[in-house]
Amino acid sequence: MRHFKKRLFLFIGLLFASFSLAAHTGKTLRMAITQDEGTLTPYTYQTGYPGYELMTLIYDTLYLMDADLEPQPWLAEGVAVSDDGLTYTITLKENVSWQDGEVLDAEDVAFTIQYFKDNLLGRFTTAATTIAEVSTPDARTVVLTLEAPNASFLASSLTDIPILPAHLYGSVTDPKTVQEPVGSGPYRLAEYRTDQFYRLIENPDFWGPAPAFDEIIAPVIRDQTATFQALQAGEIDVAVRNVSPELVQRFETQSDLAIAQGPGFASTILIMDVTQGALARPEVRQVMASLIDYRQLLDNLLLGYGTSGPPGYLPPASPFANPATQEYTLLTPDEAQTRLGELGFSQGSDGVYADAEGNRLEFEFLTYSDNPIRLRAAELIAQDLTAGGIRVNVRTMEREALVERVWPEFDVSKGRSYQLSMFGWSAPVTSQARLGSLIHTDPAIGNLNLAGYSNPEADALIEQAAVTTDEAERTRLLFELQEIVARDLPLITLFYEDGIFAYRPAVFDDWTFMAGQGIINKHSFVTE
Amino acid sequence: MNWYLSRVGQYVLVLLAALTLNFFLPRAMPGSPLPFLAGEEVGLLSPEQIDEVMARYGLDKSLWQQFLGYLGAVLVGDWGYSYQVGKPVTETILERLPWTLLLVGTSLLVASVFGIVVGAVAAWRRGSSLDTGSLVGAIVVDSLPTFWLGMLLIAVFAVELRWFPVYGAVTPWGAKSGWPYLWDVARHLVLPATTLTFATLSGTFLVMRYAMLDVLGQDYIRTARAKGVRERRVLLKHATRNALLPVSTVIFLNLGLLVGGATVIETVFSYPGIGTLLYQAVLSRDYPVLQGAFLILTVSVIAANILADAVYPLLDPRVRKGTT
Repeated sequence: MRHFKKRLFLFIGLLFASFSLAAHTGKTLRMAITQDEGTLTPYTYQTGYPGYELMTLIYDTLYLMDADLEPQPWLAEGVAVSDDGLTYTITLKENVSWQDGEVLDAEDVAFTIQYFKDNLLGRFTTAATTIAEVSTPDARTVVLTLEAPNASFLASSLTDIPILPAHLYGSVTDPKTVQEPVGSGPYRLAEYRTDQFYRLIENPDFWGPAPAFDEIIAPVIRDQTATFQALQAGEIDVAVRNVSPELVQRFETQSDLAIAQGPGFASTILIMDVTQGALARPEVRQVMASLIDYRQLLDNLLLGYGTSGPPGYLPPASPFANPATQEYTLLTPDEAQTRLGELGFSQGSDGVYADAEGNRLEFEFLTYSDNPIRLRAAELIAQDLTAGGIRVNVRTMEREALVERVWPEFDVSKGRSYQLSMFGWSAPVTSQARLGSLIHTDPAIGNLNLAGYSNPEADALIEQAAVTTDEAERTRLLFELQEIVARDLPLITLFYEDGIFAYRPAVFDDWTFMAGQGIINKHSFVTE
Repeated sequence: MNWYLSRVGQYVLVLLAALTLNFFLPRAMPGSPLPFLAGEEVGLLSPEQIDEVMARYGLDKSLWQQFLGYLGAVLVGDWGYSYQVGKPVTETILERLPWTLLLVGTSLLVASVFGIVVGAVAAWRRGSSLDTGSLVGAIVVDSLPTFWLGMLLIAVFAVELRWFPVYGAVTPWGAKSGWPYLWDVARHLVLPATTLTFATLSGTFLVMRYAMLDVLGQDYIRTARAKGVRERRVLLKHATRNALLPVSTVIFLNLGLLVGGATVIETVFSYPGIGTLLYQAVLSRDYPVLQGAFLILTVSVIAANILADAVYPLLDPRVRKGTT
């Protein structure tokens, strides 16, 4: 009897199993994504990564960053920039059509820029508003006149703005409700079930390099563990999610999986409100930065898969990184305490230093409840600082609640109510070297200046760099800025995690690793 | 009649209270839906542009104005658009509801039947190894974290043995209709439903067991036995039927929570139910979806209560005759 039951169990199991092998034909890629991304139009995709990457498989930009972060012509054939850096004359490629058969021409480009100005959307509206005027002398020529010379216009705006079809969006008043994306890109959306999956199919009439897949199926798998279990079980071929360091070894030993790894550009930083108290003194921030054991963060938390620091913010993989601002000056706890004594602080009975008025060096340190690496980093840093006589109390918060404290209403002019917090900026801040956003006094320029930092010398450099079109001169100015950041420490850069990706090489092995971002980018999905 | 009227009055009050709470609680959370309204990199917008976005969604008005607008809209069946998905809230919820009903309904059914049968038998054989075994089992299962159990099942049955899929409710490239589709749905259902069954099983089992023990000590059981009624009949007809009364209350309560989904399990298995929708809506401060989902949840709890009120007299003649 017992035997029979066992057999029955096995039989049922096999029956179920036999159906899971149901084959799918053609060149299909199954790629797990992390959350729903709306209808994949420029107004409805959700995340900068991987949402933007999926959206731009359907929509095209005028330029496209190559793997080394150099902008290359995409919809555009080329551009002529006037000597004053104000006028960009763009020639469009010939014979480009929309996925519904209409021809893509200069009118579409002009329409797109006006549409993003009229229908506000963080990422593209900002890029569009730097353009003062658009004219279209003929169907393949667009002339853009900028408000002011902008050295990074090509690299940060023309590679970023997706071109919209004027004949479809012309009648749309609320672009958030558009349900069917129609672009000019290599793939089109064939099927979408909210929160379940996307099915993209090759656009047979694509004007550019042939799509690498007949079909891309992108199931939504929210849970990290489930994602990599699905990969191990052979249910997906690649995941957009970063592989956590402790999984790397296991995947490397599994013969049907491969790992792609390279530098990442998403930073993990310690931010401070530098507008008041002891944190307003650069010397105190220097002591704090010198107490943190960056090596330990890198080795213990990231298992070596990352880049430590750097004090000047930009990591070595950035083309603008200053080699002189890559290492922190470190102090032992004793040395740090001596230094605090020199700065006029004295040690209290519980080991915590305080100034002459009795203001203690004791701070609340906010961190995310949903990010174990940042939480553990905060705890390690708290230990390091406490050893040096600076007490830090770690407090975990839900993401939105934390953002409300450090960046109320996403407007730095609204002030801030925190002392220390873990934070991080996404890859574009690094890849476009947007140091001005991080530290400029004017909220309109320093829109990411969560510290409330203000330094006229830095402001002048930022303003000068923005209008400098000479590449070497601009790099020199950025180098100088990084020196100021490394010296004044308006924020303490802790580390950059590597991009680590796991995939099934038998299905596809021709991934393009884009510096700072990884293998999920447009180049991987077309055959170049 | 009076009794029914006061009951209806109570439900209307509950509904109003729920509508009010559903509106104000999400807004009392720190944080803002702005990043989901203005897309990523909202920090790049100027303060004036941010104000314009907020005005577009009516979020610049005072809370009371927004509340009155919301009440008016809900009454005419307009539940608004999801900030995140850009679809009508009703559509968003209706897309998920069948999956949640399937998952939670299946588990509830299995857990109830199993819990009642094992609970009755355990009480009947009190002190036996079956009783002790199932009691210990129930307590162990009850204290296992659900997500951990789910991951364990995935690791064994999906990754190692590959009998069942790891994620989702259907295979994205699989059949879309007919028996193969149903089979696909069933295969995806097994692991999450098993996990959820384990999570709810012990409640029904314990209530049934204690109710049964209580009933078995009653005089009428002794009388029945003294009359010479056969043991089997005493168990089924006299004891179980009476012991089912408190259990039915538990089941009805669970029924009301059915549409709330099972957030943890849905997340572990990437199951597209109401639970994950709610979770995501909380994270993205998607007020319209939160309001809509909680409203449905409230209404179904109330409906379950009404149902319980209606069914209870059928189960228990004492209530019917007003001789409780």
